[in-house]
Amino acid sequence: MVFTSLTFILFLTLVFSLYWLLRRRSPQNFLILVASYVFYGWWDWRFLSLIVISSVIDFTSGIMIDKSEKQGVRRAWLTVSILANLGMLGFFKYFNFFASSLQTAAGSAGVHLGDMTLDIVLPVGISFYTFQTMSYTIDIYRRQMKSERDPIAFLAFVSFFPQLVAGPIERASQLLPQFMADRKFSYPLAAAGCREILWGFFKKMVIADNMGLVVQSIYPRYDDYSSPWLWLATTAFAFQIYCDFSAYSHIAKGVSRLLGFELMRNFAYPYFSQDIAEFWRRWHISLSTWFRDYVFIPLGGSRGPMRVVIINTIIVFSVSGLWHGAAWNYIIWGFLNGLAFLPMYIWPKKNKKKVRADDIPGGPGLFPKPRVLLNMILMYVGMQVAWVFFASPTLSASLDILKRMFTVFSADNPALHPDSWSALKALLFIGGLVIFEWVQRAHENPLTLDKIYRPLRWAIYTVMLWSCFYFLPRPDSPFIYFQF
Amino acid sequence: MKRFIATFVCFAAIQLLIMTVLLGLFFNVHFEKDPMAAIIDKKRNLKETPGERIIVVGDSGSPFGIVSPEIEKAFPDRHPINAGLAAGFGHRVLIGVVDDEVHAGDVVVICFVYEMFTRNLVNEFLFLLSSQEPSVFLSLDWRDGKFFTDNAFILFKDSMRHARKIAFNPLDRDYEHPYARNSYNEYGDIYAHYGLETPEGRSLTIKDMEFGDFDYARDVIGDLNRFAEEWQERGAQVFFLFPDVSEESYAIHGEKMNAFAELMHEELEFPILNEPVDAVQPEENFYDTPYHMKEAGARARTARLIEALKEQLNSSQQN
Repeated sequence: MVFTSLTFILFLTLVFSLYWLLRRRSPQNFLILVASYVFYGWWDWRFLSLIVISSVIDFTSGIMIDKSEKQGVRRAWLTVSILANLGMLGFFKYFNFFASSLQTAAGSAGVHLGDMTLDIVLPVGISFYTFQTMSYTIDIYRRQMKSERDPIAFLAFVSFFPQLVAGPIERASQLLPQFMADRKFSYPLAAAGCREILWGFFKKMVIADNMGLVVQSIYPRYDDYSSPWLWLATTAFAFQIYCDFSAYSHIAKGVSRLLGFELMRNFAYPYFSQDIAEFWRRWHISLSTWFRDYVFIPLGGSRGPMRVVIINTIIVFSVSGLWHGAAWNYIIWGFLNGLAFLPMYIWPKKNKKKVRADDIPGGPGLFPKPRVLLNMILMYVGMQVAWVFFASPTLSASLDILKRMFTVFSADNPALHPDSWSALKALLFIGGLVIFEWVQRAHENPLTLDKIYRPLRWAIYTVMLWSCFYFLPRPDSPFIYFQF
Repeated sequence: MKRFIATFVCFAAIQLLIMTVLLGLFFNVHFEKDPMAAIIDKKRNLKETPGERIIVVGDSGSPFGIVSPEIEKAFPDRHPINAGLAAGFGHRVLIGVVDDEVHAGDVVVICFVYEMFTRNLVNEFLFLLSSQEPSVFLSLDWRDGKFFTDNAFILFKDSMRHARKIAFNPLDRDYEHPYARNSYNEYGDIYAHYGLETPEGRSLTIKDMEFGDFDYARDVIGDLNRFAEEWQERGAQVFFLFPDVSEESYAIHGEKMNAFAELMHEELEFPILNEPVDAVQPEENFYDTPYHMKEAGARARTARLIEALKEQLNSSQQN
């Protein structure tokens, strides 16, 4: 079930109505569980078994780890949980990648292994919920939280439909207690939720999907295009992926608020970042902090010799690239992001304040200082170059596109160009979004317009809502991050 | 909660009002040459053409693949009507267009492309058709519910675009041939592309054809049998015709086509006029899709249809 469909609106209306009629926590949790399984099963009910298996193993492991004082037993149950989750993820998402890589490597060594790949369908959202449940057992193992004894609450936590298929990857310590607390309907929270949903719809249907059209018209036939068109397509992709993914997070957060839950912030105006570290504090925050807490810090974190820190950083980002997709171009994308940290480690700035996601990007003023603006532009351009690896189907295509972006200024076929209106529309959408987000960047949701007179505010909401329908491309496209 | 519901209802009422205006325009103000208006002409033909008719029911392969004047020459006592529209409307709508108008003495030839038996092809273009003929929604059933709720936003989009077009275009604006209402002849065949070359970049070979375990095909066959039985009870004769495809398409998918034909022979409860292997033509006879034919292709196909129909009708007369 896609968020941006009438199916989901009807589903949400039904769940919302029943949910607040129930009033008591336990039946509400049970309703969330049933609704979440219906939501997920809408794609393919067979994959529900994976969520159930993952939930049961982690529920049991959590209790066993919690109640045992013997380190060996605790470690054994943690291993069961991690192996089960990584095993599922590894099989469904990475088996073919590793099999074909092995085949290629063996082939180059003169050994022919034959086709080892399998016809595997990737279950939607598997990367998200496996990471979420792993953090639960790890936190119990670290004695940072107690295990959950209410199976319904736990199953509902793992499968919570607003964030099940594309995050945010919530921490059990943050979300599970909300399942155990009584919920009281709050008008401000629900109203804020509706605004989040509207903003998510607008970002996805108006901007991301229309940017996707530009990308789709150029990237598959990049050989026919010269530098300016490839830069346009890459810019469009940069905003497509940002709006697509952050839209999902906005809608997830909005829907959760309607049910009385508060999810973590997942995006905080990442394209206004001034360096790579700030970018990763603002982009897909739930994943960045997951890797920080469960991979980077256990590897040694930023303590120890610089050489080790650099290696740790590159490992973490390369793994993060692999998390996004089972292909070499994603790994290279992650590797490049890790590499971008190098100057910061080698030439650290003294007394530099560490920027947090909640800080206003670029400072509080309406206009950025020239140095700040320059930093932001450099950061954005660097990230845009890296996005080429993310947007391309293969590593060799990425390299070809990059080469053309910097060297080929003619020899393209104008007959193939997207019409000038599409290109102009893309630039107008990007420009409009950047200005609006910049002006509103002090708010977590830029659609916070409380100071505006209500009729005007409603007029803005109405225009935004109908813009979603008007600019919706046909056929509509699912969220990019579903594939991860 | 009360405050939230009150506020939400107020906001929703404003949106409902806007929606009512837009849908009102969408369903009531039409462009004369809109290609979707072909359904009005076809329904009128079905209603007003007297006597015994030869009615072709199908997707766009029918208007792009049948030359009705040839049928009229071959069967002077019967009036041909090409009621074919487009696969994207789904088989229930395509059948629904003719359902009420089939009567005693009619010969109905159902011709669906293979893909109609692989999955529900109904798509958002149905909304454009419904603008001209809202009753098409009555042909849908619960199996189309998911399509409807998944694509309802497209209906809003179409209604907004329609309102914009009304504001900026005359109602008799021209549409590009052959996708215009006046690209059809009086029988319902498309002829405006005769003599034109295949537009650049069009693929004339079928890319994917996946029947799976034929579950969906059985579902469609079941629907066809039900309608055919009803029409036969009214005194009509019903036949099925496999679509013509290019030699390249047959080379790739011939095995699947023949396996599907076997299933059709087993489960279809009315006669089939041809076999997939007989419905193959050179790729140069196709116009802009794997099923849209140029004049030469359409004539060749019609000739074979006439031959098969004569054989069937003669034998049924003898019986």
